[in-house]
Amino acid sequence: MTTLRSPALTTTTYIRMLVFNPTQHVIWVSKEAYPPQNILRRIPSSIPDLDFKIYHGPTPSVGEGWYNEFLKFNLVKPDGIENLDTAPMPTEFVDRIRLLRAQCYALYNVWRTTAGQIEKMDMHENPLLDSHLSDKDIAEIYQQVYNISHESAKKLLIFKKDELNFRIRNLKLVEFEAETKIPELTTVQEVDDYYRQLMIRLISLQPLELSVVLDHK
Amino acid sequence: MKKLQFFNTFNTSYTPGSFRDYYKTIYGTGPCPVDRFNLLKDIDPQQLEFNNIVPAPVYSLKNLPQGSSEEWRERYFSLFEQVATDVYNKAQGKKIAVMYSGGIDSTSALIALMKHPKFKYFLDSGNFVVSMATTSIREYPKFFYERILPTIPIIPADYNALMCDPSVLVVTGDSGDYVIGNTDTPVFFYEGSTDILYRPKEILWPYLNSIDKTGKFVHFFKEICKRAPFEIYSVNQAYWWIGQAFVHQGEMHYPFVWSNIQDLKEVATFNKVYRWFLSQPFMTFSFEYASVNPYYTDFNSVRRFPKEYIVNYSGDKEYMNKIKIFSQRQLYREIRKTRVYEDGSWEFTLDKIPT
Repeated sequence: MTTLRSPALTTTTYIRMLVFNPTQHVIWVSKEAYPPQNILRRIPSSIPDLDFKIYHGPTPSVGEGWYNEFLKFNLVKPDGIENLDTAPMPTEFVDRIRLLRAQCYALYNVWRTTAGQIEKMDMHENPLLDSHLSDKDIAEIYQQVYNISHESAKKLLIFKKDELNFRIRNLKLVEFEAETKIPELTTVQEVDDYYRQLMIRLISLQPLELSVVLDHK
Repeated sequence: MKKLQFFNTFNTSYTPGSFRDYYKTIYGTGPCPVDRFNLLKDIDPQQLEFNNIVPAPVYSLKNLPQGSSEEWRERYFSLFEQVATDVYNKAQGKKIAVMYSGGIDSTSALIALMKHPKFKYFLDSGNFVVSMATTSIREYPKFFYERILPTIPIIPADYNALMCDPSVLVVTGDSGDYVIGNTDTPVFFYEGSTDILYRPKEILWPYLNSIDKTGKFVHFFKEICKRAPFEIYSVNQAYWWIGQAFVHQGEMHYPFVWSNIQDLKEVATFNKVYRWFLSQPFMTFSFEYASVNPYYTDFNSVRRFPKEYIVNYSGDKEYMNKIKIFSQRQLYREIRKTRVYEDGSWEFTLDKIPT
């Protein structure tokens, strides 16, 4: 008996990428599960000189594997949704391409770090921040569950909302600063130093070293 | 070269040229501390030297009660009222903001302030608030819902706002974990039991060697114990001494480095941040009590005195079984300064050796 199976589920690769326009070298990639519906995620397209492109086709067979070629700065994305290729970086663009990759991943990792903080601090999808819930409804639940007075329930609600807003405001400010400043930095070293400072500032325990995508061994 | 008062030990790397890398060659991969008493004799002062600001302990080791005596408990309880009076005196004309984690230390300090005759005056005049996080509630819900919420204004723990407001005196329970023993003492089995605090300190050596196989961490411990103010016999005393020597100076700086406050002249004083358990009465108690090598078994047992102080007020006997929750890990904080120098200047920089 033949098992019915969708070929798209087993052979299709879907990669979003940012590409350096003058040479088509791939600067940043994100491989997504297929089908890619409902992906709604910020990508570092605010870094200048980059085009957004998609690869969608069979598992690419370029060089020593598409991701290895990407790490070696050899992956290029010609036009055509199923096309991927390799080419050495032109000497005159080496510094520029390395800087762009450092900027993209520094910014992306800052977002991942703040997302981790949002999860840890219980801000992700916290119903207290949902505009559909009224203060009156929330206070009534506090009053019943914690067996406290109406006044105490209102006070607790104000405190919790203030706390969530304080945390979100601070994390969003860090993100805003990072995405404003990182594109203005002019060397890989400046990006790496600033990125490491941000990781210290956010007291991050995530080992997100830029060297992973810059100096692949 | 300017002496350091503080440098960030969090998220440091072993990059060549960093102090962390240099420290590893001498004392291994253990935590790289701020050295309160300049005990680390192997460190080249050209590489790193600290300006010490933790108040010098004043103590006498003569005619002390035995370690198991009830006199120590009574003396410990009496310190709270004494320190509360000092806080209210320092807070004249200011608003008191108690940093409340819900843990044993901040709860006991808050209770002492609530019991004090001046509490009502400060509260009624709008000059008493509790600064906390939602996780603070989970530590001791009954106390929060019955004692704090109906009575005292509560605000989110925002170090930046509090530290940059000159009208606020911040009160913290920081360093309370190190008054009696040290709650960072590791838990490991020795002869089938984790009740190790009263055991001879020498049982630590194989454990420490299992963490750092170079032997450098043990070397660190042995060297430090030699320089204690009295003979160190037990595991409890050894870790107490580590806490005294290497924790307090860093903790004194935290509210200043977690905020954008520019003027750091009050780091060494208690005028802006009152560190309850670094006050002289608790410091004196800590040294004198540790010197008699009091009998303790595990790290929960060293929290008995402060828990009893809380239960005496709240009447919640079940509180004695409270386990430690690291609720402060879910407190929102940002590191804004990575180095503070003796002249009050500071930097936000990576961990290279200062030049």
